[in-house]
Parts: sequence; C-alpha cells; structure tokens
Amino acid sequence: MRKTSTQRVSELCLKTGYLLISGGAESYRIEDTIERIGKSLGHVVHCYVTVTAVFVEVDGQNSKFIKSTLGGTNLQMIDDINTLSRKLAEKTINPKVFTEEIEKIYQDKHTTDFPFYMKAIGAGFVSMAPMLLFTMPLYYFIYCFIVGTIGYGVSYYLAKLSNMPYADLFISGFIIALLSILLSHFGLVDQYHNIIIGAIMPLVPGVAITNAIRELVMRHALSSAVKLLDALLVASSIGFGIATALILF
Amino acid sequence: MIALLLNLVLSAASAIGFSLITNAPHRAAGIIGVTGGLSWTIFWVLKNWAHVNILFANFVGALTIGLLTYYLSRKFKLPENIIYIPCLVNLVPGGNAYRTILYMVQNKYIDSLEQAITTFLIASFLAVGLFSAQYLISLAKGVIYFRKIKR
Repeated sequence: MRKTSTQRVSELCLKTGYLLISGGAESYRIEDTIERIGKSLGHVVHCYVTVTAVFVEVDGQNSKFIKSTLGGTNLQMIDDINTLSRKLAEKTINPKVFTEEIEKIYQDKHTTDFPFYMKAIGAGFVSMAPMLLFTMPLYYFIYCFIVGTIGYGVSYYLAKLSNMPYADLFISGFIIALLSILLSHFGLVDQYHNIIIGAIMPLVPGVAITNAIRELVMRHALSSAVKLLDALLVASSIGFGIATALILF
Repeated sequence: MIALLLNLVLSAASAIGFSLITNAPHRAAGIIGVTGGLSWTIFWVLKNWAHVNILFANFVGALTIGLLTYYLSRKFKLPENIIYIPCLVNLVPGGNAYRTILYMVQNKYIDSLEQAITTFLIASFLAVGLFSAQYLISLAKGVIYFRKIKR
C-alpha cells in the first residue's frame, strides 16, 4: 500500500479537527483522534487544539493550522467521525474512502438532523424535569411543556435569522418570563417561578459546562477557560432576559 | 411507588429530549434514556426518602452517570461525550441559579449570595462525582494490571 503524502494527511487532519470542534467535542479527545488517524495512515502527527484553532504537524515537515469558531453542538457529527476513524484503525475501510467521507461531511457541514418539531417536543420534555424536584401538581407539567417548547422555538429561529451571539438567548429568556407571568395573571398557576425554572432548562449551556469541567480535570486549562467564560456569558444573558421581564412587569 | 415510576419515566424522557436538541445519534437514544433515568431516580430516592444532604445526593447521581457511561460507551462503541451531556442536564441546579437572579432583582443581596454559593457548590459536587467515576475506573484498571504482572 502506498503511503498518503504528508500534504494530504495534514489537510485531512485539519478538516477532521475543524469538524470535531464545530460538533462540540472535548479538545483532548480531538487531539487523540487526530493522532490516531495519522498513526493508522502511517505518519507521525503532532496536534495541538485550542477552542478557536487547530495546529497540525506531520512528520516534522508539514505544519498547518485552521481557524474555527466557538459554539454549535452536533453530537451526530462526533459520532460519525468517531465511527469512521475507528473503522480506519481496524482497517475495514481504506484511506481513500475515509478521505472521501471526511471531504463530504466537510463540504456539507451537515449530518442527519432531527426535524424542528421533534427538537421542540424534546425541549418540552426537558422543561418538565425540574418540576419533579419541587413535587408540583400535574397540571404544572403541561404548562411547563408548552412554555418550554415556545421558548426553545423562539431561540431556534432567532439563531437562524442572525449570527449575533447571546442576543437570541436574551430575547427567549425574556419571552419565557413574560409568558409565565401572563399565566399567573390569568390565574392559571400560583407559582410562576417554577414554570420559569423549568422552561429555561433547554437553553442552559449544558454541553459547554460539561466539556469545560472535563477539560479542566484533564489539565487543558486554556480551552476549558474559554468554554467556561462562554457558558457563563450564555447563562447570564438568559438570566438578564428574565430579570428584565421581572423588573418590567 | 407510583411516584418512583413517574420519576423514572419522566427523567428518561427529559434526557432523551435533550439528546434530540443536541442532535445525538439515533442509536444512542435508548442508552441515554436508561442512564438519565437511573441516575435521576437514585438522586431522587436519596434526597426524598433517605434525606441525605443534597450535595451528597448530587455526588452519587453524577458518580452513577460516570460509571454507567464508561460501561455503556465501551459496550456500544459510542463517544463518552454523547451519553454524559444529556444525562447531566437533569441534575443541573437550574432552580438555585434562577433564584440568584431573582433575589438580585428584588434587592435581596444576601439571599442572592446564598443561592449563588449553593449553585456553585452543587455544580462542583457534580464535577467531583464525574471525576471520581473516572478515577475509580483508572484505579481498578491499575489494580488489575499489577495483578497480571505478578503472576
């Protein structure tokens, strides 16, 4: 079998790293995956990943880097690339097929996705979980489901309309608080605070916080700090949205 | 007993719901449901029936997630990340974080600070639980490794 050239390998590794970052993987896992891919293609690859860039060096000759942006979660993409690299390591697919598959994902920047209504229903279910903690009557669950679905839908469409970060979360936090206060105005619920707590659950930056903690434990302090700061900003923008509604009404 | 069943079902549904939002692969849905449901139920039983400290209950919940994730991700060949994230969402201290903001708005700064500290403590105990799971596993691996060498 002919060896793939260092040029090709470095490009392949960069693209894989970029896709994994945009899918929301932890940085130490990305480094591990890329070095494994290089190993199974017969090259020595060194790799360094921060949240906003990937640096790759192949065989001590060819070094490159690619810029990427923070944010975005797509666990399907992580799983796809993981499966591909595992197959490559087990030699069930040859390097050519692997390169083509990665190129395909990189061109589309898109994997199989759930339709919007499924995600909205999922958001509704997520909103119902905190009600279990407070042991609320059953009709609270239904209101929480509705408000959570609306809040998630608003943030989903606002994120599609504009690239400005944090603003969509501020607005959806505001709308969730507004709806909950309206519910209590009409006498449907007594404690609108619990409805708000449930409905903001789908917007909580769970991925960023979990990854940040795991990276901190693995001593990748740089990317961990960036992610933690981002998560804090996301959480406080939701909080200030709610606070605005609470002050106004 | 019915309350226990309701908790199990709803927390599993919630974990699967978050996995839909983050676009987890289809084949992981059942695994996420089992892990999320079990960890939440253990947390809930410890908190409401055994009346232990909420910090310890969170710790045990996170430990359960860590151990189950290690086993299931190896068995079904999934990245650990995919199982961790949706299951942890149930245990996130959203209520305390919300009350921090609420009291701040109502000019009750002392209460707000109290809630902020509680939020931080719960979050860090979740992290400690996850880390302990990893540590226990690596410790067990080390013990098995050295036993093999001796023989």
